[in-house]
Amino acid sequence: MSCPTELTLSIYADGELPEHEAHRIVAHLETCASCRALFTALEQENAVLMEVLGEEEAVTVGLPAASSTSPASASLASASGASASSWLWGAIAAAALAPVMLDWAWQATPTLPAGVGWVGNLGGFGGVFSISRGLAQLIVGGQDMLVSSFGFVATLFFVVGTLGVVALRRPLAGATAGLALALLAGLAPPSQAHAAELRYEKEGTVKVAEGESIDDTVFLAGKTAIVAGVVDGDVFAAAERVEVTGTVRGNVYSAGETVTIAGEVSGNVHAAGKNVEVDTKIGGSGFLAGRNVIVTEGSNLARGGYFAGESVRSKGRVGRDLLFAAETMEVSGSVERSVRGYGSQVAVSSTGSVGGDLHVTVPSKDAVEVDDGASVGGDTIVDIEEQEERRAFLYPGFYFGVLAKALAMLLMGLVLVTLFPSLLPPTPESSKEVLRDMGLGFVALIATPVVMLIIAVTVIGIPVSMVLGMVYAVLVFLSTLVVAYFAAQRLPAPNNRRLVLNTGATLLVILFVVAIPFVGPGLNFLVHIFGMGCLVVHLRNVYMANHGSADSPTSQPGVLATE
Amino acid sequence: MDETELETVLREAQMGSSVAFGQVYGEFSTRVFGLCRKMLGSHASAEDATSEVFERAYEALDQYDRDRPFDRWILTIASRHCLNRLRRDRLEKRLFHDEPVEVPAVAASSSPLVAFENREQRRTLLLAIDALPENYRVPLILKYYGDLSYDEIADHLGTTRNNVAVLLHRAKRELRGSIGALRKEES
Repeated sequence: MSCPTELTLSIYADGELPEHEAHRIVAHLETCASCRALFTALEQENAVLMEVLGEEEAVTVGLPAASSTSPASASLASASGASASSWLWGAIAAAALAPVMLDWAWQATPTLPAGVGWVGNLGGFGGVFSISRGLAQLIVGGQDMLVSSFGFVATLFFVVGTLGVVALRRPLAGATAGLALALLAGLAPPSQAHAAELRYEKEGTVKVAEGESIDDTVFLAGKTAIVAGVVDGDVFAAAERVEVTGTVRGNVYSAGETVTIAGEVSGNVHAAGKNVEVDTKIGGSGFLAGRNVIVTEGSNLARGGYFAGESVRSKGRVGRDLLFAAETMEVSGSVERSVRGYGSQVAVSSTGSVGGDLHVTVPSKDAVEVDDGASVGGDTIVDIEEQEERRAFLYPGFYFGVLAKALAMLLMGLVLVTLFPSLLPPTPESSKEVLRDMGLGFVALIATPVVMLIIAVTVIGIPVSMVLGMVYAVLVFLSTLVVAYFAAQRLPAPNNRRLVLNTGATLLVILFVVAIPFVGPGLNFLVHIFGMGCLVVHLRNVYMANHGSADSPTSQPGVLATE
Repeated sequence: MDETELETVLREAQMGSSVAFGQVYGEFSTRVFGLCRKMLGSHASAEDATSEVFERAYEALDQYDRDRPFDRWILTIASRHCLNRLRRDRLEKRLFHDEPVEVPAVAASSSPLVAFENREQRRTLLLAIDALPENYRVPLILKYYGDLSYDEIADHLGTTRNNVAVLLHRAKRELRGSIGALRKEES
């Protein structure tokens, strides 16, 4: 046998060599004097290290009085009140913020119309995820838009703007509006490239004055935005109050607390806000979303109507189909083709008329009122769909679903941890850390889609943005698992297998808890931001660690020369 | 404190006796402090860390498995805690300060670290350990001060057992090099 490396001998000296290898070394040492000398030196070296390191205590043992008495008593004082750890306190403190977040995670609201479920189709976490998905769709499917980059940028601006302006005022309606608009904007045909005109007033009124005529697309942003003149291109307007009273030959994209469209619009109208009112003739379709949406009696939408909101009243004429998702819906105008909608209260009044079918999905039979005077050309179809979310616990499929999800997560986590052990984040140790992680997670959760958008504006950034999107999706997916893992660490686990089992169990508990109506989505949100924050912090640490300590290139074990 | 005595004290502490926990503190604080001091490199932060470690230990006491040696258990908590601290500090340092200039690698392989008869020489060795880069210093301390196994160290550092072996090996080589350089300076 050839001589073992110094590294092998060093491991042997540490008593860490597997038995079969150790036997070989023992045999070799008996025959090889130089290795024996090296081994002895290494052993002595270990002894010296242990001795010297152990000795330092004697030198620095002078523990200051403060730390020699206080920690125990301090910890007793802090811990005796309740045996809950500070970790738990952090979580409780953060949970106190839950109502705010609950409102934010708007689909938790029990009055949510079933029809808006499509926004939340990724579990209780739909809000943010759908935004990012919508954005991803915009990015991936928006190649046409890139042709007219202005339209693209404007759309993006619009999505973000909507969230900014509306969401802060009224999270529920704001999120509805923002999401609907983001998706609707994605559906909208891209506008041609224009030499656009940008008008911006932070506090004041920005307007296209009466008598003024603009050949281009115009962007308006301010406290109040008014279009009274003639615009040949599209109008993009974001303001607290948006009023269009002039003539627009292109499309209107607008968001604000109050949006009023009273002028003539040749293209489509996209409007989102707390109050959205359309009182005019529109050449295209109307995509309207808001808390209160009204299409007045004299109005005429030449094409379709797509309405979403808490309270929607359609009193005017819709040239083609009407699609809606609303809490209360009132149709008192005419719809030339069919009506398809989801709502918790739907009424068709005596003045209402529907050319085709009237097909609504409502929670109960008496939620639909069709007045005797109303005319329906086709069939009237009423689907009763009780809000399944709340009754999910009654269906066996739900349990299989949760089980499958938990297994998938666990497997993915196991594979990742096996491949990259360093990816496992350390458990946060204090409430401060928990809060920090949650804060970071919150930022990461919200900011990543925005960053993706900003990056994607440049053509070169699109792949980067897509990669970022994938990473984001994985992080969101894993965040639940991370939290389950932290929780599992609080349970006794003598070995790794037990730890994995515990993690699986806590994961199941978490997945069930977040499926509870009302409370679940908020908790889910907390779980996600916490897990995400931990992951982000940890990944950053790992990155730093790997790039900070460059190993010396000369790693060949040298020969130890004895004195 | 002998073993049976320790066992009694621990059992009492686990049942919630603060007096017993105080005794536990008295028994182990020096070692915990020593580990923290060596890992963190500063007296002040070691003091903080020690009290935090005991706070954690107190909270987690019911999870302590009495079949395991208690010193192992508490040193594990301590080293984990210190590692987290180091990571955090490093992060901050990296965010706000420039990288320290790397000391050029010392010629590998010189004399082993055996001839340390007097206090002065031992002091030199300690200083050299303190000056080691963190990725070498931490495993070295965990192994030769904390008496943790390769597996335990690997678990803490989030790396593999083999890598721990390599890190320890390199750490020692680095030490030999710097000690050799120091000696040359002296002579």
